[in-house]
Amino acid sequence: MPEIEKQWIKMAKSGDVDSFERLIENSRSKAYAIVLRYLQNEEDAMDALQESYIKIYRSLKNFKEESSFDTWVYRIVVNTCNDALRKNGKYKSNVSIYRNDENKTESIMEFSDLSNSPEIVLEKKEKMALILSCLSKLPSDQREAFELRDRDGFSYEEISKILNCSLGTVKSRISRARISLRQQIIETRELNRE
Amino acid sequence: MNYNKREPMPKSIALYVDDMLEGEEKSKMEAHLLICPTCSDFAAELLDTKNTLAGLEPAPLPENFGPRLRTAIASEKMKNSFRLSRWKSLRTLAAIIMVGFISYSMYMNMLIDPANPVGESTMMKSASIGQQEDEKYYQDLIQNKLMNYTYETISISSDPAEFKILIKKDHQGNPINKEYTIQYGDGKISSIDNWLNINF
Repeated sequence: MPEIEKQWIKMAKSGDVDSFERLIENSRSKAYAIVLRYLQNEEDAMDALQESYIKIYRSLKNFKEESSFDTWVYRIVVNTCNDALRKNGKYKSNVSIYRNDENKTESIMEFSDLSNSPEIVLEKKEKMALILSCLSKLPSDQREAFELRDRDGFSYEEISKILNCSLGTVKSRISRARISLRQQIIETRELNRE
Repeated sequence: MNYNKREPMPKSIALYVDDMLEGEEKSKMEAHLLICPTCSDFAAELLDTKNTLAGLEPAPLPENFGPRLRTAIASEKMKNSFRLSRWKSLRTLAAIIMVGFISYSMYMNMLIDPANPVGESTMMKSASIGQQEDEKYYQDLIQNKLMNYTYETISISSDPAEFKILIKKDHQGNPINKEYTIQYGDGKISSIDNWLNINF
C-alpha cells in the first residue's frame, strides 16, 4: 500500500473528510459500474453507491491496513448490492439483470472503439447485445465472478477477496461461466437462424 | 466438441484464455493448440467474447454524485458528533445520579447506624450527628484504631469537642509518650483523620 494512502487512511480514521474523499477517488468510477450492473437503475445505483461509501466511512476504523483498501471497498460495494437485491427479492435469481430494450441497453454502455465504420459498430453492438443477453442466463455466482474479471478487470485473487471465496472457487466459476456463455451464444444464434 | 484423454479439458482452455496457466501446463496447452483446430477454435471463441466485453466502456459516474456524497458524509459526521455528545451527556447524567444515590444511601446508613464502618468515609465525616453519639463513636473508633497501642485517655470534652490522649507505646512496643488532641467539633472528624494519618 502506498505511503500516501496509509496517511490518508490514518487521517480519515480521525474524521478528516478530505482525506476520505481522496482515498475513495480512484474507486468511484469502477464501483459505480459494478453497482449499476447489479441494480440496473441509475438512481438505485447512486443510492447503493452512497450507502456503500457511508458504510466504508463508518467502518474505516476496522480496516486492517495489511490488505488492499480498494479491494476492501469493492467488497463492501458488492455486499451492498447483494443486500439491495435481496431486499427487492432479486437476489441470486437468474432473472435478466440487463434491460431487454436495446436503446436502454445502449444508454448504460458505450463502445470505446470509434474508429470503425458504422456497419462494424452496428455488428459489434449486436454481438455485444447477444453476449449480454446470454450472460444474463448464467447462474448468478458464475456471472458475478466472470463480470468482475472481464468487465472490471480484477485479478482472480482480488475477486476471491471481493466475493470472499477461495481462489479455486473463482477459477472454477469463471471457467464454467466462459464455457456456458459460449454454449449459450451458439444456441441463441442457432435459434435466431431458425 | 468431443475430447479424448489426450486433449485438454475446456476448463483448462478457459483458464489459458485468462492467462491463468503457468509453466509446463501452459507450454503443453500452447503446443496442443497449434495442432488441434477444435481446441484452437474453442479458445479463439472464448477470447473473442472476452475481447468484445473488454471493449465495453462503463457508464460514467454522474457528476452530481461527488457533491451528493460529500453532503451525505458531512451529515454522517454530524450524526456521529451528536451521538458522541449525547453519549457524553448520558454518562454525565448517570454519574450525577449515581453520586446522588450513593450520598443518600450513605447518609441514611449513618442515621441508622452511626458506628457502621461506612461512617469512616468522608461523606460520613462531614455529616452532623448528635454530640453524645459523637463521643461514644469516637471513643470506640479510637479504641479500635489504638487496639495495639498503649495509651490512656486524658480527657473528653464537649466544648471544645475534643479528646486528649497520651500514647505511651506504639504497636511494636516502642516508647512514644506523646500527648494528642483529637478535635471533632461541629460533628466533623476530619481532625481525627489527619491525626490518624499522621501518626499511623
